[in-house]
Amino acid sequence: MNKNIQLIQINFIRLVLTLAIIFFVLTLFGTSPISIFDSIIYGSMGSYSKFIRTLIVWAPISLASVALIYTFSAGMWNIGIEGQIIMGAVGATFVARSFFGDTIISPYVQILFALGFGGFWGLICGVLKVKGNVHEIFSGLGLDFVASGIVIYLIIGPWKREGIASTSGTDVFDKASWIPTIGQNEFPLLLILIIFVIYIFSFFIFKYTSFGLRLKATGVNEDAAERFYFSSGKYILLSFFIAGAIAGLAGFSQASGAYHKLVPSISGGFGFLSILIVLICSRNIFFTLIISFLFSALIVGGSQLQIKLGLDHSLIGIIQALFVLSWLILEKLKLEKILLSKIIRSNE
Amino acid sequence: MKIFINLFLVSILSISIFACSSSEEEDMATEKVVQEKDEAHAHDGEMEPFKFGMILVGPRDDKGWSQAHFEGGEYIEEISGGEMIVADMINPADSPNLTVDQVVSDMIDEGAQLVFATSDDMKDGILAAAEKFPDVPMIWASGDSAWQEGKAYRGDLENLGNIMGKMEYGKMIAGCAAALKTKTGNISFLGPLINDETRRLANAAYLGAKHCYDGDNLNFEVVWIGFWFHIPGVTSDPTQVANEFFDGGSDVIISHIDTPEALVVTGQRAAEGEDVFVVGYDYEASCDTAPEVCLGVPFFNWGPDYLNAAMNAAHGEFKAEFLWSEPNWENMNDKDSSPIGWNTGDGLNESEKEELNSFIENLSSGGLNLFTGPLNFQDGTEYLSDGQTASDSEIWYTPQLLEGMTGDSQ
Repeated sequence: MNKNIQLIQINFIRLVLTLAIIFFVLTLFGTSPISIFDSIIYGSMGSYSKFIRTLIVWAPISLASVALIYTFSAGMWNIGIEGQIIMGAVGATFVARSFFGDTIISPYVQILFALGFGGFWGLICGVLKVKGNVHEIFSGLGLDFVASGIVIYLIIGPWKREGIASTSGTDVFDKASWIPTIGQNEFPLLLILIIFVIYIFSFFIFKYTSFGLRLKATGVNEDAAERFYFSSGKYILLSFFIAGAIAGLAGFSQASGAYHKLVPSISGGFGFLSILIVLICSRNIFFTLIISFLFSALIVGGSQLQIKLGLDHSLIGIIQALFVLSWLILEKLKLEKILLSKIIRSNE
Repeated sequence: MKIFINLFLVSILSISIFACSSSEEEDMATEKVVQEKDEAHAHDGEMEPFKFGMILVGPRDDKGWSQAHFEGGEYIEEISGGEMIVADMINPADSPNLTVDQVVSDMIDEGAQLVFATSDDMKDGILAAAEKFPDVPMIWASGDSAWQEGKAYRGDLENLGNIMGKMEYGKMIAGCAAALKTKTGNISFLGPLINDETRRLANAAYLGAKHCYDGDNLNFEVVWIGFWFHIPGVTSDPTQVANEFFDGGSDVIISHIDTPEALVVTGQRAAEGEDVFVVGYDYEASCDTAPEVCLGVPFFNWGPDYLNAAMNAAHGEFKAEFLWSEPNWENMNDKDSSPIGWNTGDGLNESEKEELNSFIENLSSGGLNLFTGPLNFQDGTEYLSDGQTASDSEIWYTPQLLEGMTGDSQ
C-alpha cells in the first residue's frame, strides 16, 4: 500500500512539473497560459453538452488505450492500432448500411462486427509475427495504410453518395444506427457502459487470472515462457486479437457515435495518441483511464482556442507533444524520486 | 501526509507565480480591448457589436476559396462594424472529431447572431445545426437547402439560407481564355470532387472553351482529385496531377480546386522554359502566385451578399432565401455589388485580351447564352434540344459532363 501512495505522490509531482514546463513554453510563445487553460477547461467541461462532447472523444481514446495494454503486456508494439480502429469503423458502417441499418438492433450488431473486423485486422499482425517472424511494427504500419486505403476506396467507390464522388464521407446513417443516447443532450450511456465493462474486465484479467500473468510473462521473456510449458505464440496471437477487437469498438464509437457516417480520417489519429498515453501511464489501467480523459479534454477544449482567443488550434498539438515529451524525460531523469526522498529525509 | 501538504503548497506557489505574470498581461489586454470597444462605440452610438461566425473548410489564407469567404467576412466588419468569429480548417482531416454543428454551437455561445458555413462539405453539419438552433439565422454557402425547386429543399429550416454567385459566367470566361491561348488544343481541368456544383462549373468552362476555340481538335480533359483541396494520403496530389497534365501534352490548366497548386506548378514549368499557362480560381489575387503564366482568374466576391444577410439578421428580418446571384454586368469587378468577378492575367497578349473582352461583352449583353441546345451529355443522351435554353434547375443539377469532355461524370 505504501508503494502505491509513493507512486501517486511521484506522479503528482511529475504532473506539476510537466504543467510548469508547458506553462513556461506557452509563455515563451507570447500567449497567456492561464487564459489558454481556462478556455480549454471551459471548452471541454464548461457545460453539460460540452462535457458530453468530451465523453464522445474519450470513448475511442480510452478504448484504444486499454487495447494497447494487452499488446504491450505481451511485449508487442501494436502500431497497427490505427488500422484496427479503422476496420472496426468499416464493420460498423457495413452493418449501418445493410438491412439492419434502420432497425433498433443495429448498434448491437455493429458492436459484433466492429469486434470481429478489428480483431481480424489485429490477428493478421499477430500471425505475421508468430508464423512469419515479421516485426509487428512493420506489419502494423503496413496494415494501417491498407486500412485507410480500403476506407477511401469504399467512400469514393461502392459506398459513395448518389451522384457524388467525394472523399468527404458516406451518407449519414439512419438514426436507428446511431449509438443510443439518453436525454436531450444525448448522453452516450451505451458507450460509457462499454468502457467501464472493458476496463473492469481488463483489470481482473491482469490482476487475478493466469491468462494475464502468462501474457505478462510472454512480454518479459518469450523464451523463458516456453520453458514454463505454455506457448508464447498463442498468447501473442490472443493479445493481438483482443487488442484489435477492442480497437474495433473505438472505430464503432467514431463511426456511429461521433460522425454518424464513415469519413476517411475516421480514426482521428487516436490510435497513435493512445500509444503515447499508455507509454505515459506505464500500462497502469487506472492512470490510462484518467490520462486519456485529460487528453480528450485537451482535444475538445482546443477548439475553443480559435473561437474564444483567436489562436491557432495547432497549439493543442504543441501542448500534447510537450506533455508527453516532458513526462517521459522526467520519468527517465527520476527527478521526482530524488525530490521526494530529499523531502522525506528532511522531514525525518 | 505532512510531505503531501508541503508539496501541495509548493505547487500552488509555483502556479500562482505564473498566474500573476499572465494576469498582468491579461489586464493590459483587457484595457486595450476596452479602449478599442470605446472607439467603436464612438462610431456606432451605444449599440452592442453584431457578432457573426464564419466557418471555413480550409485555412483563412489559402489564396483560394476559404480566403475569399474570410475576406467576405472582413467586408461585413469593415462596413457594419460587426465582429467576426472565425473557425478555419473545419474538416475531418484537420480537425478530427470537431463537427460543424459543434462549431456552430460554440459560436452561438460566444454570441454569434448569424453563422456562415462556407463549404458544400458542411451540408450534414449545418443542417443539423439549423435544426438544433431554429432561432439563429444561418447561411450555407453553395448549398440548395432553401431552394423551393431544389432537390434537397428543406422548407422546415426557416433559419437556413443559401448564397452562391453565378460562377458559370466566370468559368465560361476562364474556358474562353484557355481556348484563346492553347496551341495544342489540349486543355486540362483540375477538378476537386464530383457533385452537382463541380459538374455544372466544369461544363460551363467547357462551353466557354468550345465557343472561343478556333479549330476542331479541342481536347478537354477533366481529372478529379477527390476533395476540395489536397489531403495527403486521402486525395490525389494536385501538384502531381498538374504535372501529369503537362506531361500528357496539355498546355493550359483550368484550376477548380480551393488551393493554388496548379499555378505553382505552371510557374515552375514555365521557368524551365515550357510554353504553359494556367487559369486560377476563387480568389481575386490568385494570379499573384504565377503572374506571367496566369491567364486570369474568375473569383468570388462574397462581401455584398454576406453583408446583406448580416444586415437582415441584425435587424431581425432574416429570411431563408436561396440566392444565386447574377454578376453586376455594368461592372463585374465592383466590390460593392458583384458576387463574382474576373481579373485578366498577364499571360494573355493584347489581341487575346481584346477577343476575351468582346466575349465578356457578349455574355453581359445577354446576346450569348452558352447553355443553349443542341447539347448532349457525355453518354450521348440529349441534354438540350436544338435552340432550347437550359432552365436554372437544368444548369444547377447537371447529371453528367457534356459530350466532348473526357473524365468521370460520377
